[in-house]
Amino acid sequence: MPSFTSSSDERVATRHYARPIAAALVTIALLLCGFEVVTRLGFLRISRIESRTSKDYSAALALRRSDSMPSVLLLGNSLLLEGLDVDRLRTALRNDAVPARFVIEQTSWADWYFGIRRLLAEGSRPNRIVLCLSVPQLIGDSLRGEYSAFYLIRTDDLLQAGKNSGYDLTKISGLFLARYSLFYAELNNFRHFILNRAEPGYAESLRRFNQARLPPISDAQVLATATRHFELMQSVCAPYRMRCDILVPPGFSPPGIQGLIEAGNRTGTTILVPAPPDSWGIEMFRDGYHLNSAGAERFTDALAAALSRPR
Amino acid sequence: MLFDTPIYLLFLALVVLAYWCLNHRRQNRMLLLASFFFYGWWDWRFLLLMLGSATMDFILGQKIADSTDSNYRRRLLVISLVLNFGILGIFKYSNFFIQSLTDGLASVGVSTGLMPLLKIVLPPGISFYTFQEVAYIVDIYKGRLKPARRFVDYSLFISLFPHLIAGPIQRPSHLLPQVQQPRTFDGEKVFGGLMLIVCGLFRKSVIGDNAAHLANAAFDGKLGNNAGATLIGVFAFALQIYGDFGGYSDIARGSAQLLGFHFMVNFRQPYLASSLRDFWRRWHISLSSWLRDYLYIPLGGSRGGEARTYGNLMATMLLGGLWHGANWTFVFWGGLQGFWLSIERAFGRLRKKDTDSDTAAFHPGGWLVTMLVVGLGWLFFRARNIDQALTMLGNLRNFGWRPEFLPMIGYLGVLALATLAIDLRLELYGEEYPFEKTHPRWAIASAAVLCVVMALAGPMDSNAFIYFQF
Repeated sequence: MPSFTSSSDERVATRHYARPIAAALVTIALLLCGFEVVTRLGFLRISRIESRTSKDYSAALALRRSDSMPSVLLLGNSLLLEGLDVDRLRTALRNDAVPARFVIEQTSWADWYFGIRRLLAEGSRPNRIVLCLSVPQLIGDSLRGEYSAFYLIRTDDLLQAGKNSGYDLTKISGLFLARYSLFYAELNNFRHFILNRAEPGYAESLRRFNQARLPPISDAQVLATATRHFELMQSVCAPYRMRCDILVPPGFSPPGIQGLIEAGNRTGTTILVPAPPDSWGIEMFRDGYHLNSAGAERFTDALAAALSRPR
Repeated sequence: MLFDTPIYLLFLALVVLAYWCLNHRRQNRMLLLASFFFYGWWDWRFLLLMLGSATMDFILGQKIADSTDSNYRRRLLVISLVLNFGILGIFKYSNFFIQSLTDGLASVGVSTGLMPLLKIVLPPGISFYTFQEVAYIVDIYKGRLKPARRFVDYSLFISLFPHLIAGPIQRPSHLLPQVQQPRTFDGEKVFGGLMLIVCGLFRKSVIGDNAAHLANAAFDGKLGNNAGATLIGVFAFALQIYGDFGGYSDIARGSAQLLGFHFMVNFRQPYLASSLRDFWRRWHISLSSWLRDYLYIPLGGSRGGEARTYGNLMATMLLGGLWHGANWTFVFWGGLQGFWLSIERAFGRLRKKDTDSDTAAFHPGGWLVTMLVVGLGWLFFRARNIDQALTMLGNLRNFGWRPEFLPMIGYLGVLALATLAIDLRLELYGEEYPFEKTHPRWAIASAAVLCVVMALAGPMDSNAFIYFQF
């Protein structure tokens, strides 16, 4: 136990410990820098998800408006990732449009509202933006957190994004760090990645524990929230002479779909429903929620037809 | 501002850097402002409550010390105790008592529509700073302490940020002189503080938070209703609460050391205890010793015969349980501790071996029994209510096995081994952090390893410190 010592003892102890203190601080600093470098150089290479996200992000930023061959930026989460065959869509639209997809899993409306703001602010200029989320995700205000801060949210928007999602000051401060540190933003993914390889059974159990049951939602709730969300979204796109459409993925009796369509009518937002609810059987789905490869092909074709139609 | 977040570490670094550039007076003022900022980060309105409470005790303490009229002194003491515990009672227990009264009356058929629950937010750290204030007033009344004459010193003693939210509960006779006297930069203390912070972060994030996933799953019913779920839940929670609170205490003590303060040790390898009495000498020492000195001994301690001693033990532990939260589960947990301490005393196991040393020798049989009692206590401590605890206890008769239990048990085993490895090292070498008594390079190397493990095996989602809710 450290004890109070005389001043001469203290001077000796301080001199004696000056180097260890410096060494400890330097070690910690080097470790933090090392983690950041390894994440930026190594993790992006070995993780397929991170590699894809990084490429998608660059591709989305590179999109430019064109009257001869309009560009379409498709944004969304795993529903879009698994439900869309991008190469097939490109082929189907080869004479009509140039599609690009930017997917970040486990995201919802708030992530993409700020994501669209950032993409447009950073120079992305597609002719058309299509946001693909399920109805509950479209009316949710939660953020994915640090990961979104790195890829989707501008520094200027971090405070607002955190407040809208009910974050306290400590969590908001974490968003600021994650905005500039890929290591910090990726920390959860990094740990998932390692746990999945070290203990896949336990990782699967954890995933199941964390699956939250969604509360029931009504058409009236969806109408009220979606109207507000769509107005905000269109106000972001309007200065760039752009509209944002909503793409509803296939599903079974999605709650609030009528409310969503009504909100679209009120705000002038096009709601694309290429696969009407309950029209596809369970054989098209991998897990009752995400499409399988057969479902993805069918959905891609339906989406291509919907995108080809004039608005 | 949670201790395991980057913003706290940044805040601490800035405070430490500025602090050592100032003279003593300015150090105290700057630390006071930093502590207010730290506390106000949650909600600045709670600052007013803490300041009001501190001002009241500062004034009462001086009046008690300055008076020679014993009746007047006693009246001031009573006023202080009533106000301190009154504030704590209103903010922490009013809904508990209203609900308990409502339920009690409803059980005998009396309508209770006139007693709505209050919407009261619990101010962070109120249980901790109230106990410090009470200790301050009682020590002055007993003549064991001279009152602080400068409000800055007293309010810094109450609000010094490393202990403000969840302790360790500091004794005035230990901390107040440190606040009042100039502090000099001590390299050994600062180095130890850095190591304690790294060790605490490891305990919290790797052991506590990872165990929390399984404890939460078991207590949320996601593992089913069987013996495996109950055992995994209790085992996981035992690791979680120790990792979480032990880690918090290490970070608090480490932060204090960076500022030249010394805080009392709060945990001393509690899961190596061979008796419950030994456990309470190792677990949350700042609370258990506070309860001993300001409740058990004033009640008469062991001076009034065996029956009175058992009564005092039970009363102390029941109130200690209630201190943790406004829920019957905590009362039951405290009652269990008091009951088993009484059993141990009655059988005279410890009385013969009683020594002045802080911990008793290790006995495998005693350890096993103690861990079973501690585990049973954790079941009630963690459960949402008594019904859930009894249901989970009843599930022990149902030996349903699920394949996913195996990786969970393996995972908990790894966390337990990490806890054991650290605790054995500390116990055998009498250290406060791993490799303290070897060359600093080994301490730095072990800290580097802990940092790498934290990065790779930290939690998917961090949990708030358990004791922040108390």
